[in-house]
Amino acid sequence: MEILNGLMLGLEAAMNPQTLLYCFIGVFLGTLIGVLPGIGALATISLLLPVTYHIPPTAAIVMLAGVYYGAQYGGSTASILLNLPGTPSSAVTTLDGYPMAKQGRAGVALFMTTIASFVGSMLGILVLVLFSPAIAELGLKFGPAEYFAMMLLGLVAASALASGSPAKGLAMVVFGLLLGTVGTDINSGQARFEFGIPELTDGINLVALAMGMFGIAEVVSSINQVREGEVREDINMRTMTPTREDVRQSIMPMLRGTAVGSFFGALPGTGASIASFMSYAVEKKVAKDPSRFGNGAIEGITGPEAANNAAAQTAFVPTLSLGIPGDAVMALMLGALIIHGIQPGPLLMTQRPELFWGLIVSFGIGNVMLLILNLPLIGMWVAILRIPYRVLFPAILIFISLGVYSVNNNTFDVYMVAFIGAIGYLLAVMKFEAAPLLLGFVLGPLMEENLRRALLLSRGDMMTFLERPISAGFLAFGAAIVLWSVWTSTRSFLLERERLKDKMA
Amino acid sequence: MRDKDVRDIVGGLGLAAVGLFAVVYGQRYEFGDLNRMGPGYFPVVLGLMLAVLGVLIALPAFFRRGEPVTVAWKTFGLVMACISVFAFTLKLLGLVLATVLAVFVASLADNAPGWKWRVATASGIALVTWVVFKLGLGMVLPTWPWSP
Repeated sequence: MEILNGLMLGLEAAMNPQTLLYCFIGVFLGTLIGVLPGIGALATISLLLPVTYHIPPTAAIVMLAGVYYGAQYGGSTASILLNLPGTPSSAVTTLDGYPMAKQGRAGVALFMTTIASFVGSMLGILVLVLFSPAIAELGLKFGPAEYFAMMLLGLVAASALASGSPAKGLAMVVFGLLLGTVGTDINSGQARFEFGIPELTDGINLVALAMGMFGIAEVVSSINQVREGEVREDINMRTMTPTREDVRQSIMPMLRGTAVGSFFGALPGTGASIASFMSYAVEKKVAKDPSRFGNGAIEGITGPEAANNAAAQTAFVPTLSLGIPGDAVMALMLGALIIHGIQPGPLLMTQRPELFWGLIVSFGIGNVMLLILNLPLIGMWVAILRIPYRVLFPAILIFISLGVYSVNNNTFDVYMVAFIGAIGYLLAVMKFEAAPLLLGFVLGPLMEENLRRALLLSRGDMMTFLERPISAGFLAFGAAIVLWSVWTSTRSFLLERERLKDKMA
Repeated sequence: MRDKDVRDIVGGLGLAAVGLFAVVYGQRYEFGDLNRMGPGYFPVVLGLMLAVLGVLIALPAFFRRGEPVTVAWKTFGLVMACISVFAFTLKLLGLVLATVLAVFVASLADNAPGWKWRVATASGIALVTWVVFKLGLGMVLPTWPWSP
């Protein structure tokens, strides 16, 4: 009953013309940048943050959220047509989407991924609505020890599930945590690692870090890449209609994808990208004929696309009900909320119900808008993708520079982007993933704060994390993940040794 | 040496160096104890962890074969130059000229021959940037070198 009341309240809050307008702008922009490779939701939301200062909080968050889940719709377009993912979570869509395009089925692929995205989103919203109140209830029992343990779990999950060895993922997390200590320590007022530069006393600019690590590295590696033969297919309503077989084959993948996506979206430390990869793995595992994957199997695109959209929606569960960001984008959303004077956390639902429910209702409205928008506009997105990259990438660089500049109006931040971009590119070349670093950076100050408080309350007793049941539960889960990843890497290390020994013999 | 897993070696040692730096540099901040953690506690502990992890990553890599690393140095340098030029000239030359200059520098990264498209792209992007950031978002920036 409480949920129905909430939804009514939300409907009232969401239906005003200003909110609807910003919702539309958000989803439109979101799809656009999702379509464009090299610039994603993270960069765009950072760029839009300063803009939101001048509009009411509900409209601001609705718009930013629209960009986020809108991008998950657009991301698959470039994956299918160019074999280049528009967003990281659409990378897996290239595996079967591009072959489908080469078979002349690009229209069907684009159509089905839009439907899959819609299904994933709507069901994800359902999960969000059903679970958020319960989790917020639970969250009221959280003390600093629980928050610390939960964030630790998130970071462990992020490093274990990163591609490449978990040790590298963990190293990036720790690096990120360390970078988070740059700036003024709240408790003591001591400036740390600022090297005498006044601009650093506020810490490293999050936007500069995010753009530098993700945007710059992406751009540098994409320049001069040979774009495979572009798909010259005529995209119109006729070519987009799927066959009955296509639809029949896609229903279960969409549902499974939604389930996978909802789970990974809600877990802190994992998000839309992991969700889409997992969904692909699941689909391949349960398929009757796994050899079709990689050659245009429609389950290979509908499952992951449903998953990444569901994850984008459920990512709001920990953000809104606990105030803990699940990934870098959620961290920016939290930042936006705080700037507007709203304190996210378990009390948000009771103190500002119209914001909470209004946002959720706007998700529903936004997804309907996206469905209506995307089908006719596919032609437009396709045209935009035909712009040569050498014209696009300088624009991206300038937009990044100006976006970062606009946060504090000082050029130091722009130099920071270049510097961080350098480090980010080198790390990317060495195959060290950037996402765990960003998550560590965002959670670092929060973790330190909670660790301090937890230890203060327990008078320096580290056992407090194990004595409190919820905290112990998180730590146990985290330990399980660590053990699992140590076991898999030891196993592959031993296999490697065996192979070498056989060679020597 | 060339066929070792260079990536993990360089990356691991690099991160270990950062961690070590944090431990050494962090000595100037008060450490405190578990009960009352000082500003130096977290960074030093993290630095130590990072140093250990870095070594743990680099060590096994000595015994592993790895693929060769390709770094797009020219592209990398030009992208860095583009952003730095932009940052340097933004307040001096104003938005339009800074953009034109920076975009021109960036366009040198692409191997396509000719200079006409570079000039055209630079002007086009300068226009779009002006429309979006000055007109659309109302950013406070000098447009020309002589603007206030």
